[in-house]
Amino acid sequence: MLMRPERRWGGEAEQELGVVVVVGGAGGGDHYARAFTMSRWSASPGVVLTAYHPSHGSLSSSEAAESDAQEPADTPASPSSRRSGQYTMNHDNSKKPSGKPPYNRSGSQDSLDELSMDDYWKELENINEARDNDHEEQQVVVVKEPDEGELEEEWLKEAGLSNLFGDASVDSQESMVVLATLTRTQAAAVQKRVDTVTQTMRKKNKQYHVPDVRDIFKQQNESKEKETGSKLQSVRTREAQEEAKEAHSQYLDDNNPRDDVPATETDINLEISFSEQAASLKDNPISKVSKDNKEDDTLLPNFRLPKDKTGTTKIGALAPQDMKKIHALALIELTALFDILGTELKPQKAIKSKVKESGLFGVPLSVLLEQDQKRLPGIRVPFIFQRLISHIEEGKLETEGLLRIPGVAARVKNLCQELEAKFYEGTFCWENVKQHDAASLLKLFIRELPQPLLTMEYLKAFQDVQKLPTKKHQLQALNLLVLLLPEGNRDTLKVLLEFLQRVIDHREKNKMNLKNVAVVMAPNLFMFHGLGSKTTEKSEFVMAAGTASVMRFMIKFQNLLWTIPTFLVNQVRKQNAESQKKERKDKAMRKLLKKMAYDREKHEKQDKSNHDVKCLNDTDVPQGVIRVQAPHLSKVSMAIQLTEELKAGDVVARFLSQKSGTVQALKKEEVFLYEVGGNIGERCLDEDTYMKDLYQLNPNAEWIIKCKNC
Amino acid sequence: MPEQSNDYRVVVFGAGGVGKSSLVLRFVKGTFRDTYIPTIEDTYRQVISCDKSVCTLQITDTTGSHQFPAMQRLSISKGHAFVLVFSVTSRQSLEELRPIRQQILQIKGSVESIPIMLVGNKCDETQREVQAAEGQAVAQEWKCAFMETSAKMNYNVKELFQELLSLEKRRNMSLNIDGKRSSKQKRTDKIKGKCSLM
Repeated sequence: MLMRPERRWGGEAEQELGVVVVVGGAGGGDHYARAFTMSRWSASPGVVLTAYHPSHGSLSSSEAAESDAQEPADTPASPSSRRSGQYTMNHDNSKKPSGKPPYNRSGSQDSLDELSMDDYWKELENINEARDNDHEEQQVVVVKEPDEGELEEEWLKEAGLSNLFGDASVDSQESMVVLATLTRTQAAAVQKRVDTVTQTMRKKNKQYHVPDVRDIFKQQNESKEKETGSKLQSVRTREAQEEAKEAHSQYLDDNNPRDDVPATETDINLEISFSEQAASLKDNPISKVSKDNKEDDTLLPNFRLPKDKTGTTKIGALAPQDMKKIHALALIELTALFDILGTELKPQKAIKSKVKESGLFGVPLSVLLEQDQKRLPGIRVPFIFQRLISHIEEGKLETEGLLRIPGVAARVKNLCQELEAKFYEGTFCWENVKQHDAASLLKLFIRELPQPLLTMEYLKAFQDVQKLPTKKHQLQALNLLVLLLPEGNRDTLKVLLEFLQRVIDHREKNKMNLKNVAVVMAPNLFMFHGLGSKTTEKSEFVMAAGTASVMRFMIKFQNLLWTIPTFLVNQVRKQNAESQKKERKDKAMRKLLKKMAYDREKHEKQDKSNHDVKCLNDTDVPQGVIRVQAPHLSKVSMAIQLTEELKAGDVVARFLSQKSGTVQALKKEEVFLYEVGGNIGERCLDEDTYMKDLYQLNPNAEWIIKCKNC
Repeated sequence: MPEQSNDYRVVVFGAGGVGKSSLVLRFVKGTFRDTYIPTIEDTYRQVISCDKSVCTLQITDTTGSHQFPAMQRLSISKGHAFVLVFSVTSRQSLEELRPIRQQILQIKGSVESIPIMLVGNKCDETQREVQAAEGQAVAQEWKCAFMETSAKMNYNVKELFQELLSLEKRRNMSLNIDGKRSSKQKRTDKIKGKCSLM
C-alpha cells in the first residue's frame, strides 16, 4: 500500500480525486500502510482496491501517517527532491549520493520496504531521462481503435472459429470439433462474440449467412452442463473452504506481512476450466463475502500445483500443432474468465510501422531471432539478451542494489552504440563493461523493443490482471496470457524471469528481494513508449501499484505459469479424438466404396491374406503392456508391464540402466519419454507421470524415448 | 511401424531364468549382472556387415513366461533366425523348448533354411543336469546347430551370434564391419580385444 502525497499538492481538483492506491507488496513493517488500513476499515470498510476515495477523513489520517514515516531525518536524499523527481528532470540525479543507494542508511527490512515504491518512480525517471538523452525521435506506435465488431472478428479468427462469421477459408468441420469440446463458460464467451459480430453485420447489411448461435450451442450446453455439474459441485465446496481459509490466515498474518514468507497454501486446480471455477465461485455467496475484504496485497499465497497423475505439461512439451490449439483455447478461456469476473479484455492492435530490420536495440524480437538463428540454429532467445544477462552474472549477483542502481547514462549510451557496431563482429570488449551499466543495457533492450515484450495485443491484459478479484484468478489469467504470447516473447520473458529469480536468491547480500526487483522491473516491462504519454495521473498510480504486483507474480510463480493447465491439454485431446473419429468415418466410407468396386473384380482369396496380417498387428502388445521405443539407443524397444506405480522416469531408467560406458552415453536429464499419437500430437512426459493413468487416457499412443533436441 | 527391409531379426527364446537376457546383454553391451529382472520383450540393435554393405542386426529378447502367446507368435513370424536357450542346470528348461520349436515349425512352415541355434547356457555351473552330448543329440534331432555358452564368463557368446549369422545362406553376414565402423562396433571390438586404431 502506498500513498503519494506529493501528487496531491492541494488543488481543489486534487482533493476531489484523492487517489488512494493500494499497492501490491508493501511488506515488512510498513507502518503507514497499516495505519491507513486501520483508518480504512473504521471509516468506510467497503473500499475496493484502487478506488477513488471521497472520504477526507481517511485521507488526512493516512497523510499524517505518511509524513510520520517519511519526514524523520534518516533519509539522506531529501524526500521532496525524490518525490518531485519525475517532474523536474536531471534535478534529482545531481543530489543523489554517488553510487551509494539511499537505503544504505539502515540495514533493517523496514526501511527498505518504505522505499520500495519510490524505486518505481525513480526507475521511471531514469527511463525518461535515458529517453530524453536519445535525440532520435521515438516512434509512437499508433494504436488503432477498432470498429465495433471488428475486434470480435479478430478474436474469432484467432480462436480458430472464423467460419462462424462466414470466413469460408477455415474448415468448418474443424471448428465444429472445437465447439463440441468447449466448456459451458467457454461456449458462452464464444457466443457473446458471435452475437456481436452478427449484430454489426446486420447493421452493415452484409449478406453473409451467419449461423445462429442458438443452433450452434443448443445441444452442447445441455450435455456439458451435465458433465461438469458434478465436478463443479465438489470444486465449489472446496473453493469455499479455501477462500475461507485464505481469508482467515490473512487476518492472522496481518501482523507479520512479509512477501517472502508464504502466507497460505492454495492449490491451483488445473483440471477444471478456470472460468468454470470462477463461475461456480461466483454462484457461491459464502466465498463472496470473504473475498471483499481479504485482499490486502501484501501477501502472496503459496500456490501449489497438486500432482497430476497423468503428468504436468510444461510449455514446450507439446508438438506445434497441439500448441496452436492450446493457443486458441487459452484465448477463449481467458476471455471467458474475464467475462465472468466482469473485467474487459480488449486485445490491442498496433498498426505496423517501420521498424529497424537489423541491429540490436530497437529491433523486433522476431527479426533478432531470425538474425541469430542464422548464426546458431535453434536459438530461442536473442543472443544479445543472453549475453547481457550472463555478463551481469559474471559480476556476481551479490552486488548491492543490482538492477536498482542505474548505470552512468553517458556510458550506457556509448556502450549501446559500440554494441551495435561490434557485437556480431565479436570484437566487443565485455571486460570493461560495468555491472550496473550492463543491467541498464538489459532494461534498455527490453524497453527499446518496437513492440513490448508482453506484446502490443496483450500488454493491457497483463496490466489488467490486477483488476481481477482474487490472487488465484490473477494467477490463472497470467497463466493463460503466458500461453498466448508468441514463442520468442515467451522464451525471452522466461529467461528474464529466471535471471530475476537468481538475483532474488542473493537478496541477503544484494538487498534485492522479490518486491524490490518487481518494483524496479515493472516499469521496464509494462510502460510502453509507443503508447505515448496520454496516461492520466490516476492510471499512473494504478499502474505503478498493479504492475509491480503482476511482476511479482510472474517472478515468483514462473514455474506454475509455464505449465499448461491439464484441462486445456484434455480439451486438445478431445478435439483430436473427435476429428480422428470424423476422419475414420470418412475413410471407412471411402474404403467401403472402394472395396465394393474391388470385390466385383477380384476373388476373396487375397483379401483373406490381408486380413491375417492385420490380425497379427492388432495383437502386437497385449492389454496392460506398452511397447516403448528408443530409436536412438542401442536398446531400441522394450515391452513394459504397466503397474500402478510405474512412472515415466522409471521407464527411462530401464533404458538407461543397462548402458555401459559408451561414447553415445546419454545423460538422464537429456532423455525423455514421449507420448506420441493417439489423441495428442506429441507430449514430453515429466518423470512423475503415472504410465497406467496416462495409458488409460491415451490408449492408442506410441511411447518413444528420445532426447529433447533430436 | 515402418520396418527397415534390410534389418536382420534374431529372436531369443527359452524358459524363464535360463539367461536369455544375460546372453543378449553380454553380446550387445558387454556387461553381466547377477540380478534377475523378468523380461517381457526387449529389442536391441547392432550394426553388422551384410553382403558387403551394412545392415542392422535386431536381437529380440523374449519373455520366459507363457503370459504373452500373441507376442511370441508375432516375434516368430517376424524373426529371421532363432536362438533357443536352455540352462545346463535344468533338464526342464530343455524340455520347455520343444513346444517353442514346434511353433516355429508351424508358423514358418519348414525349418530347413532357417538358422536355429540350440544353446546350453550357464556351462560354467557345476550342478549340471544336461551334458553337452545330450544337447548335441537334441540338436541333431531338431536339425539345428548346438553350442554351450556362459554369459557370466563371456564364453562363446560372440561366437554364438557369429555362428548363427553364418548359418544364414541367403545373406552373407558378419559381425565385423569392413571399412566404416560405428562407435558401437568399435566397442564390441574392444571387448573382443581386437581393437584397431582408425
